[in-house]
Amino acid sequence: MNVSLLFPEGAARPESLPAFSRDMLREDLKLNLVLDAVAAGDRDIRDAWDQAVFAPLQDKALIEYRHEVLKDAETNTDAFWTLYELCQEADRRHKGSLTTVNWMSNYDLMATFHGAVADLTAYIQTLRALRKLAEQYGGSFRSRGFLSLFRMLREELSEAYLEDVKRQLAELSSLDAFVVSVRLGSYLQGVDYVLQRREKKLLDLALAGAGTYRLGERDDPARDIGARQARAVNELVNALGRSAVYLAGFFDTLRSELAFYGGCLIFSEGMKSRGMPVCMPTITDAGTDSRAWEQLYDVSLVVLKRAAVTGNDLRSSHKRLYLITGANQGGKTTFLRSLGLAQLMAQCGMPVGAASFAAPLRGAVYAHFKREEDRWMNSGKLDEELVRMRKITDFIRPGDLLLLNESFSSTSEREGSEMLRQVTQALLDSGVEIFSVSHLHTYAAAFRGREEVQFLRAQRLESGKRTFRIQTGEPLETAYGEDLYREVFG
Amino acid sequence: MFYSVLFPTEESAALPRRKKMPDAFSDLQLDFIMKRCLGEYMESGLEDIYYTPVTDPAVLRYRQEILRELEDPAVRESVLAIVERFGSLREVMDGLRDRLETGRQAVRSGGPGVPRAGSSALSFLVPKKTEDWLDMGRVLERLSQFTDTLSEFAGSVRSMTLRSEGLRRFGDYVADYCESDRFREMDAEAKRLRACFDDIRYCLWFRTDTSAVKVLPFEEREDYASRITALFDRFRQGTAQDFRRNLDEAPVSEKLENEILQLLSRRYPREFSDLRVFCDKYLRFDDDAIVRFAREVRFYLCWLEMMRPLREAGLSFCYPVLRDGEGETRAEDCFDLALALRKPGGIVTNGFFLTPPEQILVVTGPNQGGKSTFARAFGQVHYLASLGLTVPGRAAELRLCDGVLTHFERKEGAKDLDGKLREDLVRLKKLLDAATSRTVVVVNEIFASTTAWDALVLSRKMLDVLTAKGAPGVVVTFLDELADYGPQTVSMAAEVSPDEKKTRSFRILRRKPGGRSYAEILAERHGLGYEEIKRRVRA
Repeated sequence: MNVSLLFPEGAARPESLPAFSRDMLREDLKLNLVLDAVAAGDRDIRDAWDQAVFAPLQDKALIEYRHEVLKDAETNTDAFWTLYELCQEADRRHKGSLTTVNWMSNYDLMATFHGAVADLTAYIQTLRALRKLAEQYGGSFRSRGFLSLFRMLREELSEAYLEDVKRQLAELSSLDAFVVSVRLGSYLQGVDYVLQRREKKLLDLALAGAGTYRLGERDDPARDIGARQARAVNELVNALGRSAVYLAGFFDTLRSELAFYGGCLIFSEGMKSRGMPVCMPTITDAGTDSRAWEQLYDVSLVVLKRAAVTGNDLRSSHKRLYLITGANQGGKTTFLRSLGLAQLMAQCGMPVGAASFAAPLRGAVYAHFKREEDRWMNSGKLDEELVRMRKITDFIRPGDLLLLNESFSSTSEREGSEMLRQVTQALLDSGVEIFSVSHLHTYAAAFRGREEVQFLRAQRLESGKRTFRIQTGEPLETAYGEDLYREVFG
Repeated sequence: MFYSVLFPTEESAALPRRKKMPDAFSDLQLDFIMKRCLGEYMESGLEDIYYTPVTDPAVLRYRQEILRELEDPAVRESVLAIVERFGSLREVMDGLRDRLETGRQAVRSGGPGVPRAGSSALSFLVPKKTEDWLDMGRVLERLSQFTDTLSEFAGSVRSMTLRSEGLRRFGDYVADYCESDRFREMDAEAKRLRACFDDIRYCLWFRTDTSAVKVLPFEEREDYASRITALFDRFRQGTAQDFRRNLDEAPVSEKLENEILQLLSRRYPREFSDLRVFCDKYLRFDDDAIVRFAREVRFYLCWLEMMRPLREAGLSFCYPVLRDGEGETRAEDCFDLALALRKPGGIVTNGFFLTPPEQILVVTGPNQGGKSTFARAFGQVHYLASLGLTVPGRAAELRLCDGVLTHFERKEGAKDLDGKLREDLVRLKKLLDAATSRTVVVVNEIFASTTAWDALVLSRKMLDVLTAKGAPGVVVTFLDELADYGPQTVSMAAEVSPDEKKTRSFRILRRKPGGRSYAEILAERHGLGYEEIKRRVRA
């Protein structure tokens, strides 16, 4: 019984970004802020988003598949949340049940045996409720994902099946005598115990004529018989234990896949309530190096400020390197973050924070941001930056997206420029798309006049006032440090 | 004829060996190396081989040839089977013989250990005497393993051309043995018996609330586990944890298991009485030379096993060319094996050579510059060569040595400086007295407790004695002046090498390298040049 709300049956799962990259993105894009806000304490939603956002889909059809399911959830919100609540309830009962606590790791095999039987029995009523829900609401859903889920629930969880499960579990819970078949082992000891199911009447008949041996007290009968019993039920306990794990896994999967869409509903509602637009993105093939967006904004900033923020517009074609220069505190980092978040969210089928957003499919996303503590020039900091960059270049592949934010600014302008130029050029020539925020003038100047380069600049009005808008434009000589100085010192 | 895998002749095997660990072991950390190498086989009687350097070129050649041959995975695999099965065969068989012989007597005399008739609820089914069927089963098991393993070994050896004298002779020995009538007969009988017992099946009934066990005739019935698996199969996804315990199938009560077999022996009397006859006849099947081989060949296998991860980490080991008497001493890419075993990454290797009349390396340089490591490596290389083993390095030509003597600074001992100097001198005297013209000497930071002038005078005197002896050696010192003692000494210095990783690691060189800019080093270190990045991203 496979749940296929996130992926159609048989679809290949995308690779997750490497762990170090996930850590960087969490920090640099302030993803944790967004995840916490969307989850609002719901662990499942947080986990589902965390998992999805770091596993960018590499197929437009898969993204459309999710858009379709999300639309279904939006038009049937009541049924959607009822289903979600049912799964959560099953989980709470499962985890909270005293009889099932810790049976999985219990040292005593028989405790595991009885724990698993009790656990499996407890699932029966939830399974029944699921089927009834499918029968009740199934008709109003349209997406392939939901239709296949409801069909499966109706077919696989019939009343006859659930009754059979109940009967067989009851039989096991009263099992107290054991018959095993035995082979002679390497030195004639009995091995390969297989527990047999025997009719009571026939068994009694066989036992009457059988040779018996009774252990004396000195032979430690409890330990010997206990060991034989453990060997007899070992395979059965495994079958029971695994079945319970599979059932828990089924509910986990269902809950987690629903949680992904629940998060999407909450996200859209939250952004709209702050007066910010939300859109379903248009994803183009990996080969098209064109991007277009309107009012693209940093959703993490909305979460942080609890207020509307400035967005940016852009339309570019055939660009691979975006070089962003200009005023300090002019919104460059925020811009980089808005782009990174939008790309990640768009590529896992989520809505994004913009009025419109069109972007090509990208492989993995990597970020190399200046760390706050890097303000002091210090060879150790540079070393740390180089180590991070090295790591990225070990993993990054053609078709990936790299976000650079003031990289190599912890060394001299000349040295930093040269190092960054080499890295940027090498990655560009290797087919990586790069957004690079930098105040290294020598570096930026090296890319002037190149076809595949889009220059962007943080806007500064004639008055010196910054608008936090990012516009197209080549780098200027100064980075408006004076502005900041004036602002702070008056 | 084959006698031992460590010595070419019975006579050379009989020569006395050291039972005590040589003093140099702790300074050179050979104790750690040995422990790491032998692992669980420490105290299995191989230590004295490590403690006893060999000067007989015939023995050294014998061992080097065997070790080299065992590097061949096919050869090693067939030998491993013998070690795994027969490594402790003698001890096991001695125990079984002991138990079976006393058990037989007990059965005959009706003594203790035999349950009396009438003590059971169904006494008419309980035999008069219960025999030790499990131990007889164990004899059958061991013997079957023995014949199978040897036949397999003989078969695989037949298809190989063994080059080492030791393994070739052992192979011939086993081949002859397998051809003997006695071997064929016991092999055939063991196989026949095993096949009989494979056909015997039964069912067992028991309840946990009683201590009774019933033996039932075998019947095929539906098994519970498959039933449950089928019932919940529709929920299966991915893989789940394995709930099966790794349960020991050995019976808790051997007595009960023997009783079950006794009940079975009434149903299958022929099979069980044949087993009894078989055990009587072949109880002493474990051949001396084969058992000895299985124990001794671990010396090589453990060494190979120890080298494997280090070689995978890029370090080299080589078979030293050993020469008796004068000649060049040369080694390339040597390293401290003890250090490498602790952390195989980032090991700095060093080479050295001594062209006569050069005889002693005098090592100077900054503290923590890898001087002691270098000295240890020098000592290890020579000592390991004298055991017939490979040495840590890419290539080595060495003079035969009868051992390595060391003088390393002791942290413990006398507190006052006078006392320390006296201690140094006493130890040095002992060392110099014990050293022969073939003893490699490693001296590390001697006379650190006295004035530089005294230290220089005393060190020169020490060098006088060492050079007179004529054996190779290394002297680590803080006295730069010692470096140009004479034509017998070579100066080597620890130098920072810019190519190395940021961690403090140094090469010991005959000459100094040129410097480069910090930035260049940094960039190269991180592999962030244009070409390198492009190569990596494409890959």
